[in-house]
Amino acid sequence: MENNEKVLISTRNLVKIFDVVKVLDNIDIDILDGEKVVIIGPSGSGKSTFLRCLNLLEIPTSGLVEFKGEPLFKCYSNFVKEEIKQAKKQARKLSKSSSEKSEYQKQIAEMKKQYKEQLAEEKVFRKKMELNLNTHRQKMGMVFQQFNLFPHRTVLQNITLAPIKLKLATEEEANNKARELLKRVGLLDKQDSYPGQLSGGQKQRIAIVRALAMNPSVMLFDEPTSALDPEMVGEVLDLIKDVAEGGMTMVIVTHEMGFAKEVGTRILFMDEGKIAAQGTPDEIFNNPTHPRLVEFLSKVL
Amino acid sequence: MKLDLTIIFNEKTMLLLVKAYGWTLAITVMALVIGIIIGTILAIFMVLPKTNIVNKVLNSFANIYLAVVRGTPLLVQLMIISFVIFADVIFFNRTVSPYLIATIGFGINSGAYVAEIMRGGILSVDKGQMEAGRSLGLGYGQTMKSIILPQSAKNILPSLGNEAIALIKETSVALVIGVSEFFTTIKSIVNTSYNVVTPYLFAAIIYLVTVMAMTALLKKFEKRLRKSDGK
Repeated sequence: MENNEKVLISTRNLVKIFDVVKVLDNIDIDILDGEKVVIIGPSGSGKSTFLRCLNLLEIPTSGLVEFKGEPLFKCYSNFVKEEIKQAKKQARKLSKSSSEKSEYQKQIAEMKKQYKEQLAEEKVFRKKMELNLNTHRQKMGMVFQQFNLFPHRTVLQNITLAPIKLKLATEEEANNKARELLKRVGLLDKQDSYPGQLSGGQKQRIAIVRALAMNPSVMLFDEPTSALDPEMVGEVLDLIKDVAEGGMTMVIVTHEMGFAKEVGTRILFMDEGKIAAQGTPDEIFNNPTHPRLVEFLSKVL
Repeated sequence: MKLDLTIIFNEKTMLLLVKAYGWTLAITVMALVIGIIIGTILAIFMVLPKTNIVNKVLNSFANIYLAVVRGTPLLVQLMIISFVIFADVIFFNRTVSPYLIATIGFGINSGAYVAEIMRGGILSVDKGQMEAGRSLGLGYGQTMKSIILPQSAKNILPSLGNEAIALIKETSVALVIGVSEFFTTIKSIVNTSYNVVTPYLFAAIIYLVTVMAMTALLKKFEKRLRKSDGK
């Protein structure tokens, strides 16, 4: 990793607000090529939202998301809008005649101008991005907590649907590749089954294969084992480990601390929408310093 | 008044009835096809994420369409389409056939009801399916077409069957614009034979048999679609 410092995904000032709750609060991060980033933290800390913001399944409120040096999302107008609101609130408190008030009003007018310019610029950007986003998403495999396999398609069709529809491969090529991957995970005999006929562990392994079939540059895992029966967690984690050893860049949200320690090259601890602590597994699990992290680990370990 | 089968089962009436029954079926099927096409488009308009102005306009268009079509009686709609919109339309030196007008009218009407059925079907598909499709790099339209709509199809089939059954019986309204479909012919038999019992009973039986056949067909179709459920 040290000799290959290429930044794959980066975010700047990433903010997500649901109604009035700030779920993500100014997150800056660079994920390097080949890194295995594991995100841990209490529920409601914004882990999943953060992961979903990386491939824009969740549209952030403001900030910047870059993938391979190209911006996927860029929006500061909401941030400026918020500032205008704050300034107006301040101005209202002051008496009418005071010079400070007119100063504020000048500022507000200036910000409004800035806001309009931002808005116009972002509109152009969004139009250009809409098509690009789909191509970028092809390179960001995502595995969901609820598997989200397509129940009306067979296992093989689940895997080949996207490559064929997007004309990345012919039907034959896609089928061959899918069979090869299925063989690797030991599920080749299930290729003509429907997802409804599989166990949870099998479904999740198929979901991982489906993402892998797109040859992604990075894999995003959103609590891949949280919906599984305990005896099936192992098989899924083994597969993820296997993929990790192949050199795939990964961002994993999980509650499996042992797994995080084993696979992660960097652990992020999220709390209340912020990255409260980050470091190597050793630093995070063996020598935690952040008080919230100590408290969290004492509860889960 | 007593049963008199000869007024129906003679060559001349039978010929008329078969022809009229054919029209009833044809109008129903064509109207249903138009209704499903219109309904699917409207349903997609209604579930589009309201993030930009185009989507919002399409959404309001669908809502207005539904409000107007569901808010006015079918009879009035047929009258307006026939005597106002198509009144002066000349096509290949002829006025537009009432059969065609009836088909279009029923199709437009049915589209509004099918739209709500379709919307329900689309919403019944788990939100994760759209996310899974999008995360693989498929566009919104592609995901809708190859992932969401096929899954909603089996959920909407029972309600769509309802619509088809209602439609086949509703076609009798078309007599107001001069279409001689099945029930219109039955009525004319009543008028000429002065026998009420036989034609009406016969009509009821024919409608019943038709609907039963449709139900059986739908069941078979649904079973095929449910293959992937493993149920």
